[in-house]
Amino acid sequence: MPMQQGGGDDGCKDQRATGNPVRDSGAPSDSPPPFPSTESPSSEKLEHEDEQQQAGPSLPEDALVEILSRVPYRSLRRFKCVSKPWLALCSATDIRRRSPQTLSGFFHFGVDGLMFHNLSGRGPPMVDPSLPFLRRSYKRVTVEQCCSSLLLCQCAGKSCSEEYDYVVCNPATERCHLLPPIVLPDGQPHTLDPSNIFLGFDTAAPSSFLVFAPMSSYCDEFAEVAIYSSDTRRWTFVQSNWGGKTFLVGNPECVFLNGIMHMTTHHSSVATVDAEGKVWRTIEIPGVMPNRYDNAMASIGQSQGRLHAWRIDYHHDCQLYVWVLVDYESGKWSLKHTVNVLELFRMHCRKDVESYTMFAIHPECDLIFLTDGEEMTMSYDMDNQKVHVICTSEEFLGGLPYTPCFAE
Amino acid sequence: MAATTADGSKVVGGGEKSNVDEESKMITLFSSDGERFEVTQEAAAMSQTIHHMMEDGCVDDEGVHLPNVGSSILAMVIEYCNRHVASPDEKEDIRSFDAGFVNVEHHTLFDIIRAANYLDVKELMDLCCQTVADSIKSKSVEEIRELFGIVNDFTPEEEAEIRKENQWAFE
Repeated sequence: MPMQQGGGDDGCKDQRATGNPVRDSGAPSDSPPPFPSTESPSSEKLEHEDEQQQAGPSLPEDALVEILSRVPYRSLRRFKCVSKPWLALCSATDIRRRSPQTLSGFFHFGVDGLMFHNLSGRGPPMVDPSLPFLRRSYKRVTVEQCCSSLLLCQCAGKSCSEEYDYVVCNPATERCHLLPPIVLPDGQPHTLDPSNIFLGFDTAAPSSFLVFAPMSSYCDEFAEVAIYSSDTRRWTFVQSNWGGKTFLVGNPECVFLNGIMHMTTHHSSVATVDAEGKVWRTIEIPGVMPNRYDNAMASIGQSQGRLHAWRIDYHHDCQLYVWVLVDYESGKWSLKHTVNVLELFRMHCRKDVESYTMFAIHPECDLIFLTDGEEMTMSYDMDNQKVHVICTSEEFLGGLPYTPCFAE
Repeated sequence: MAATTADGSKVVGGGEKSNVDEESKMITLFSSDGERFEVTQEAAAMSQTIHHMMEDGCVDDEGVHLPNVGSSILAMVIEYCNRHVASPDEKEDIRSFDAGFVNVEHHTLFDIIRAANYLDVKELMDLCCQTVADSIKSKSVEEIRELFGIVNDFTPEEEAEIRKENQWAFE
């Protein structure tokens, strides 16, 4: 008997638009019932060897592959339980590679070292934060930064040497890339400063990444920037040209967008540099206090292809402001949303207001992530003002947002 | 997408039953239940299957028999192809047409997918598969089985093991 008719409508039942003819019975002529497979089986004799038997309830495998490749990765993992054939399909590399990925959680540090907290806040971590593939080679691993899908790790303990290796790795594919040491043009080695290395990765170009290492000469003035390309496997050196003192906050306060690295500075601006080290810009971040220096530090992030910046005004009741850069060329921002953080956390007054922070924005939607720095972490939807509590303990108080990427 | 067919060269002699009308370049398609559909070659060529048949000169006097596609579904596929060759550049119109087109029950959508797969109409496949993907992504395992008519062939222990490994996806 062909496919069960009754069971399949739950998804579509409400979808019939009014005014449209009901398609499944509206054939131009008085045609027989819509299922070709219910008719005389003899007409079903297939002459084409590659065509699946119509009478079966299942779709041909080609079609299933096309459908599953478009299903988000999280659903794909869930559908592994459907049946053995589906387990094989949902594990297939080419489907997994195409499956749309989205923010799945946060890397953060806890008492036991690096941990991973799922976006939903529940269940065992979907990625193993112990990074076992790295631990095979190194005794100590510290994650300095997570740029979308890649981690920049400081690793030690490989040999007797106390020196650090810097490894860029992809936890989903377990591929690692060891950064070569920086050797300056004059032959001198340069020790990387872990707080001033910025990893740039874009899922749109998943086969390569960049690392920017501003090299401070004196008092955090960056005269030069070393830029590493995973394609060339070389560091190149460029003179910085930001025009003035640029005190970078340091990683992970950075955003890699459209091939350009953006880094926040201590004076409420974003310093940017492109992959070749040719274009240098400083973009001012809007402030809420008239005196620039009274503003709390701003953070930046990217969402839906745009640079966002945010600040909490601790002097005035903990009001959060989120801006989006609407005109990249001119540096014009627009206030996207503002909300009172204390109200969100249902607190009337709070001694240490500065422990409230917004630590991330979702890369694909208007969801932001906040913590009270003590015992509660939540997501907040700027569109509908809905709050979702992610953690109610000190276990997770914010971290580095991670989106898996299986592309090679 | 003009059909680069063997114009005339493979038309079997005896013109009155020719299925290739030189004027408007029509082609006849027969559904599994014997119904006859006249379509332009251009629209028919959206099906790579039919396109190759036309190119290889496998289209005989009568037309193309499609034993795997019933009339109501074939009618819909033809409607889709006609619409897409008619005004391929009017993005907004096509988008709203497509949205209305897939606004059908799952079993019909599956039938269209089967037909589009067999006929190899890539755009239609993409559209329908994306539609199905969007509608199933939030479904539970049980709902998926019901929808696709799948029998669970795991033992309870096996299933529990897989659920455990992928628990985060169920939260």
